[in-house]
Amino acid sequence: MKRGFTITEMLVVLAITFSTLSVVGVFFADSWVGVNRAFHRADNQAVIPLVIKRWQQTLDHTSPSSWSVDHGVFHAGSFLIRQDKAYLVVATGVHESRLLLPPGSTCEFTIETPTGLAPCAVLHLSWDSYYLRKQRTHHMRFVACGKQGLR
Amino acid sequence: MLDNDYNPPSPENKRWHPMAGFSMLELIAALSILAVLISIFSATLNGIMDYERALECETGALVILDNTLERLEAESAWNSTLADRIIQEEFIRSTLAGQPGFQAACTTTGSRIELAITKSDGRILAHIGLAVPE
Repeated sequence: MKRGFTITEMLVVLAITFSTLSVVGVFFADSWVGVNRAFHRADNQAVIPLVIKRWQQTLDHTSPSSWSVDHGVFHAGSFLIRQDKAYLVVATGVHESRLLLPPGSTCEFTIETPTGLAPCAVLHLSWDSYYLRKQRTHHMRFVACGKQGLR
Repeated sequence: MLDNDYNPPSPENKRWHPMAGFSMLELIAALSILAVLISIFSATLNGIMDYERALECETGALVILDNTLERLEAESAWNSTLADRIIQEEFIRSTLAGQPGFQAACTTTGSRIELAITKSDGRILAHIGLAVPE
């Protein structure tokens, strides 16, 4: 005589199936997101030299005495440097150039005057990453000191 | 429980019947294949993450050296003591300082100053050699 599954057995089988599928699903989904973000972060590392170059080259034409930070905007002589959404914007009265920043990153500007050393302008770049539901904040600081002849 | 209606597959009729279900051996084989696939995927994922982490550390080390060089160039005169002070300051303010096993070093050999970011196993992440100004 054939015996069918009882309700309890069916519920146990369904519970095991759903929990296994959800665990495997979450693992694969997180892994997929993780791999994608890893590639994005690798792209971010490629953008960093460009940000450094633009930051340092812009301040090379300025004197530290003309530097100031006002409401998140860095003033350096005739230059205004600020973040506009995903871009680092370097503006003069005449033209404006934009450099695409790593996705999700935020910029902050500070001026440091270490004791006995030349002042330096610092661009702080921060962004968050997630892996297996853990958040990690990345931070980098880029220093520019201006041109020696102008100090 | 023994099923009297059940007829085991005979050599004459070995075709699989829709109602026959899977045997334990087939189930184990399927689960083994799934486990192997998950482990391969997991290993690949860890490899990508390790690569990304290594890349980030190397970029961080290069940024420290670049910041150090920029600050040294801003000084009218500098020596190994000043170079050491600046590289240590930059290292402390970087994200590498929060991770175990990294250190910044400034060594002088003859008329050259070597600035380096190393791991505790001695591996150099990034280094730069400078001629001491006269």
